[in-house]
Amino acid sequence: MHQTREPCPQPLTLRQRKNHLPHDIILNILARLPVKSVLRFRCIYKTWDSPISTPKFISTHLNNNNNNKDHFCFISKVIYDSSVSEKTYYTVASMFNRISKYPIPSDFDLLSVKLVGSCSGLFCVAEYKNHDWFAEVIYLWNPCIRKFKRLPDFCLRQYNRNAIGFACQSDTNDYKVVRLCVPNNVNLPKVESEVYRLSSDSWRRVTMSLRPNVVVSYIDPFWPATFVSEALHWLVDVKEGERQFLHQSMILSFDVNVINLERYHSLMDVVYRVLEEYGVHELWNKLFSVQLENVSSFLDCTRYGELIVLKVVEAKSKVGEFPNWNNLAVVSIDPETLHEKDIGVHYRPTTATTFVESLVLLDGANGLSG
Amino acid sequence: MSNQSESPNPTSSSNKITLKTSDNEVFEVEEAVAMKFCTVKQYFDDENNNNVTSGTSTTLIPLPNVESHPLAILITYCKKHLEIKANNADNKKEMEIDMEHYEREFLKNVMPQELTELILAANYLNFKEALDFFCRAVASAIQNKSVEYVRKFFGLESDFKPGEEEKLREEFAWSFEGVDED
Repeated sequence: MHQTREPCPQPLTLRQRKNHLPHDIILNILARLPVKSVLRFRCIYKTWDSPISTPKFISTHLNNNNNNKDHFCFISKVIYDSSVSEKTYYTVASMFNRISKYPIPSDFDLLSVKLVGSCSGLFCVAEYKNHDWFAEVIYLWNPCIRKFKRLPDFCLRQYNRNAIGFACQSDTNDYKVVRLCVPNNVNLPKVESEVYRLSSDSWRRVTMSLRPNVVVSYIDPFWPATFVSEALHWLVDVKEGERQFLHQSMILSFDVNVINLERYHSLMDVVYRVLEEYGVHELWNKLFSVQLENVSSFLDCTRYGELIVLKVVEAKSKVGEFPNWNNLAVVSIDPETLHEKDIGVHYRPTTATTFVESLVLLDGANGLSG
Repeated sequence: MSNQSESPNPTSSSNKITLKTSDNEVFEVEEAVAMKFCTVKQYFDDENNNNVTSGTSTTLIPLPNVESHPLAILITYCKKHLEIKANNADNKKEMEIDMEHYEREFLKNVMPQELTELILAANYLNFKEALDFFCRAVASAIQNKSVEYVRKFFGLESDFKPGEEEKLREEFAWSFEGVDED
């Protein structure tokens, strides 16, 4: 005997007229669109607009983008666009199968800005106006949505040398800028630190929890930190009691996922800590050796392990979108197959870094570019 | 469209499940196919737990929110999905390639307006793979379209107060460049 009953009670909203999709499905569709389309479609329906700028939607959209098979690498180069009456400078992003260019905010002083790092499509840029060793202004910038944010004033103001690091905290989708202040006189005997969180939009002073008699005495302010395995890493000089470890022989690591308590690990015994923390059994392993011809410089690696290098190529008389200076080309090389791919950038880039299209900063920016 | 495709075969190793749509059409599908529809699976499991039917008999499951047209398409998609999965059980990459190929071909025979109907059916049946696929398909169909086109596509009227939409358009004026003609 058949009993007929409805499988489970459905909300009335599902019994809508044709072509009227429930809200969660609309968001599901929007989260699969390119950034430019998402921004345009905010204007379709007011009810769609507010969920789009929530952290949840932004992170779903980011995950959808990161799962795409295309991998993205960002090559920046200042290009002056003479077709626009006002001076506009662009950064160029190569997504391997296409090239995009994004205007650089006119607030940035191009002669003095330096890229600190990039995470989830968000760039941390520091302005070194008067000295190479002091970042006076720090910006977070998402070129894809053409928005940036100038970070508030620092807490630690008595220092005039600093080293900056940029990290993202994957579990909370938060972004952090870490500033280490480097002593330059006897009254300031050790390195001190402060952390900016995008979620709270403020700097907070942080104490380094090193071994009791250990102080970090120097960091080269010129080099930004490297962000690997959820931690920022700097090369530092360390003083332990009377013993000095100079010439940046130590690695200081900063774990960004420790909630409420930012801890510094002193890697006094670099070898052992690396072994323990990253499960590496030998400090340096030779994975492969690649013989490359006509390579001018090494730029970066993609997250799939391809090498991004600048090569000298045969002269091409193509006068295209980008000038062909000195017959250079940025190519990606698969280290195993040695397969090379011209990624469409034919000049020496100032910076190369990984890049994804994202909506991060959509709701938290305080400046627009272009 | 042949809905009553095959008569129940008592010697068949797999059970058949009968689905009845809102327009009173009856579809007989293999259990493996029906179980991909989580709503059906839930109903089926509940029935079995309640001992209303024995595990081997054919069960009639009513689907009051699904019409026969989208259901027939979903069944075809689901069968192919299971087939591709079974053919490439040990090779995920091959499976993805086959699936992509099939989905590309599939979309050639589906009108964009049909997609919303399919999404509603897949959503009601809680068939996740299909829902994801159709959402991706809609996204790629509308990504270069104008605001007006997409409003029409979803059957929406602007709900902005005067001035609000203009303000948003101004903020992201560049995102309106290079849009396809409607």
